[in-house]
Amino acid sequence: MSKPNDPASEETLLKRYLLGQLSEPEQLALEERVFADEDSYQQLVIQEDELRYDYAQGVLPPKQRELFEQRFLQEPGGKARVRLAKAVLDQAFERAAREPAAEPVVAKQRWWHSLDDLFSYRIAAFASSSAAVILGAYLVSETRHLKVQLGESDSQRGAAITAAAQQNEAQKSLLRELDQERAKRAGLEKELATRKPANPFLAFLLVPGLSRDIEGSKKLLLATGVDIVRFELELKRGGYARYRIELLTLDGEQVWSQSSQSAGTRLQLNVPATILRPGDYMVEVKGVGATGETELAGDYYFTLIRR
Amino acid sequence: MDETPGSKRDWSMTQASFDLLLAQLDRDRESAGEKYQNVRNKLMNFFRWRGCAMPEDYADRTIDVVARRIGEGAEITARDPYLYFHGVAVNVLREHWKKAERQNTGSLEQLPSWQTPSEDPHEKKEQETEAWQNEVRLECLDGCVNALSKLHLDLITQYHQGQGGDRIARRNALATSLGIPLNALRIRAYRLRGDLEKCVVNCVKERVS
Repeated sequence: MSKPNDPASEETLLKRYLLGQLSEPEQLALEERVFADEDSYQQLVIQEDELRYDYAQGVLPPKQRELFEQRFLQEPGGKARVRLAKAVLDQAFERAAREPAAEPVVAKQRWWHSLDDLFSYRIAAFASSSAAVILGAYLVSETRHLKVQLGESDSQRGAAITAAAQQNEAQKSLLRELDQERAKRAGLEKELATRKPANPFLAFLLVPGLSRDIEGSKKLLLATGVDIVRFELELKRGGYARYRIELLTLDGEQVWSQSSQSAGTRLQLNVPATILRPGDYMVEVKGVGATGETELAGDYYFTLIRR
Repeated sequence: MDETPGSKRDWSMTQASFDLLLAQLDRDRESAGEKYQNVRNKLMNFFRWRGCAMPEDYADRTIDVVARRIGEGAEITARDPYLYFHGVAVNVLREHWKKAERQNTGSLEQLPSWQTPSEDPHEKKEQETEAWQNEVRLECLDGCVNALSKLHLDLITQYHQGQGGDRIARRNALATSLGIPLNALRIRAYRLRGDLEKCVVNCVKERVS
């Protein structure tokens, strides 16, 4: 049984397998494909977890609900796991309802996004300045006749000029931040390039998808004194002219990025240890095709622990 | 050929046969250990998903058969070692069903999980202790959920909002707003749920012990 191209079809297929809705030959074919592929296998594990949460929330259609009860509620501890899922979600929704409306869940701003802001500031500053000039000319012509209004208009012009000055200041501040970011990155890159081989580095092999250990993510123990952490990324899909590798926190904040040429079945990502804080991380590898188009060639997950 | 250990009842795993098994999985012993654990986890899930009431027991029986075969000179040549175990596991499963059929409603252990009586020893024990653990559990739930960052709280609640098509659309929109593929969002939600559950379970354990 080949993997359906449509992710939704694959999801349905995995769900049907878990609920016992496939024939014996279909089950065998799916198992041979899914159990031999770490990504697909993890999807199956996640699908089971989602079924449990969907059941706990009461959103499974009646037939699936019945099958879920037959298959999973009779397992040792099955009912307790469903109760825990329900309790966790209820508590989360209760807290969400208690607290004021949050900002939309979006990835943290990356430094190059501030360039967009910078351009916005420039446009805004230019528009404000132009408005001030036009307003000024208008006021001069009106001065002769409307002296009372002149004072008011002068104050408006003053406010516009002050706003423009503030925006200029913001612009400068952003530029300074940008320069600092660049300098910091250049420094780190230089540091990486000039490291003596004697300086300790630590190498980790990461395979695509979640860790092989279902009980938790792959744990990377980082001892003090390590300067560079080298990640060996086992490629699931190769054949691209080059790759873009990004190291992100699980909240989507970019920690490091680099480009890499095609190199067999593995890629290397070298990261200065100083920028790695304890926590959960994700590595995204995007393959860049000959015409410049990019697509996800692999994602990797790990938890960094400092010793 | 009967692949179940029943045909070789006298055979049992020894340190030497276990070492041989590990050596087939990887030359590096540490990697071999990881691969062994991975294979065992997969086998347990295979038997569980196929409705065996004692998946751990059947996983170990499968591993025993493979170790015995290796001891007899077989080599794992499949592109993924798990596939070799899987082939054996399917035979173990078939034998399991045959025995269950022969004995009809024989031992409870032979029945698929959905045919076993609904009396779950874990469940019963849980119920007995549940009353006095309820308060502790609530406190733990409160503590663990409150410890979530606002970002993670929003992610988990938004991920589990809506039903059917609306739910799918919400998840797609959430993945887009985070700038990640839907698959990565599913993994994040899965890990967040897992962390929350672990937090609650550990907290309850600590409080009641």
